[in-house]
Amino acid sequence: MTAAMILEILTGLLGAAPQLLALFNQATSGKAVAASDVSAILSQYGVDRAVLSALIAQREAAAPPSAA
Amino acid sequence: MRHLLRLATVLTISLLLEACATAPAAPGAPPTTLQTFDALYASAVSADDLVVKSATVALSSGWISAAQAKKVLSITDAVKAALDAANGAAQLGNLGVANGNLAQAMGPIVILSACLTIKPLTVSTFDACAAKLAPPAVQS
Repeated sequence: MTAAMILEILTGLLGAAPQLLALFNQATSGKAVAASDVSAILSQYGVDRAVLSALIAQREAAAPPSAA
Repeated sequence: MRHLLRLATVLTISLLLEACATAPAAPGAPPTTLQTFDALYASAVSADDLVVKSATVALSSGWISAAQAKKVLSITDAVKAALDAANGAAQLGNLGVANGNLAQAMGPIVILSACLTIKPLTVSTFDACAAKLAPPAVQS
């Protein structure tokens, strides 16, 4: 299994995501990732999670889910 | 579609696990296993983040419902917990648990990625695609 095959699969699954593809390429080449890069990725997850969470709350407030 | 999803999941997990043991491409000091796992951890969290971003776009566009987005968020949180557990195990040198948790985490990411990029993406197509989606079981 080559890095090129991984990239092809990820491209098909996730669409063009340059940062992600670069990271997977890095993982398959055995190169280390800087601690600051890992921190940035973790922070970004927190930010994006908060955005989605807020949007969900906003949508639910606008149209409360029907009683189950 | 289900067969394709299963194939993609198995293939991706196999590739990720193989990547854990990949030798360095360039000469010089070889990276430690931990360094290699760091890259896998970072890329897997990025993939998880991409799912969250995709769900945000899908919800704001009205392609999925708030309840479905909530389900995505709960799964991505569980995936993140599995990835954190994998990273923690790798830090302690327990690569068996690390690889197990990584493999557990990748399945839902791959399925969610496929479900959020399905065409056409609607409340019903997402429901059908994500019907059997379950959070990863974290090993410790």
